[in-house]
Amino acid sequence: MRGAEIAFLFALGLTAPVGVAAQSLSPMKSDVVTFGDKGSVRVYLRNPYVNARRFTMDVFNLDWEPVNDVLYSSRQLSLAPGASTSVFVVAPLSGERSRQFYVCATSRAYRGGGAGVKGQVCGKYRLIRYAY
Amino acid sequence: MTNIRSGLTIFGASAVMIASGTSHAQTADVIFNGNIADACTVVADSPGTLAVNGTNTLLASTEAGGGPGAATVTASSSTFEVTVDAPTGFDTAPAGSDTNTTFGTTYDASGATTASSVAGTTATALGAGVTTLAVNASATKSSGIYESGSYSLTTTVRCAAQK
Repeated sequence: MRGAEIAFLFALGLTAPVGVAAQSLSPMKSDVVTFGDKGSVRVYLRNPYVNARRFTMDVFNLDWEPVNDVLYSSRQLSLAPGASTSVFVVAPLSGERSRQFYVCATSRAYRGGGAGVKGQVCGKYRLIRYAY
Repeated sequence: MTNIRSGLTIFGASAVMIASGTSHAQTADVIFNGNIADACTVVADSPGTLAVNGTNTLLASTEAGGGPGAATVTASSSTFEVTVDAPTGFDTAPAGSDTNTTFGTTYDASGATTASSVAGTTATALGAGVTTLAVNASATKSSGIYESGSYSLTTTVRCAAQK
């Protein structure tokens, strides 16, 4: 149990490289090495709209199916115009040596006229288990 | 006379030394570094408008009276692609409207990316820069009709790192 806790903490510490918070989602691609069965990615989210917006974070596999057992530092968040924040996402390797997935930030829909449009930005990340 | 000559020689040598001293002023380079993160931005600019066909079996932004939605996608490099997801159901509609209904989307791209009437599920590689998308949505009823009432659905413009 203690070993599992330590492995998880290591996994938390090995985050993706820090990007510049200048766009909607950054970085858009990264490899993360982890010692445990989970790995974490830190993404920077920025609200490019001229008014406050609500965003939802999701994780999908490469077939765009939702990934279960994911931890988010914030799953839903509101950002002021031009504001940015970072979000930690901890995803499982599920016993595999490496796993690719998308982390997506989706804005609330712009409605009116019957056909609403919402924007979604998805970065692609790969977790790699460290080989001893 | 000899003294005058040697005096001029010393004066000339001093002038050359002074001149050469000023021509060896030191310079220093001031270096600037910068980094642009690989990033993509999607902004939903305006919603579309749905209109119904003559037999009430099709609700679409391409029907007379309807109009496309608009979105702007800004890509920092040519490593991204765009798709437009169709909804899985109406957000608001009279009861039973989802039954026998197929949802679809198409999009046109202009600016850094050029594309015309692309099916929403088909990914288009984005050019680096600003791309403007015109998004069309449709709901088709294979059996029955759309009854009178208020309808709304939502499409999703997605910018993703290429596979």
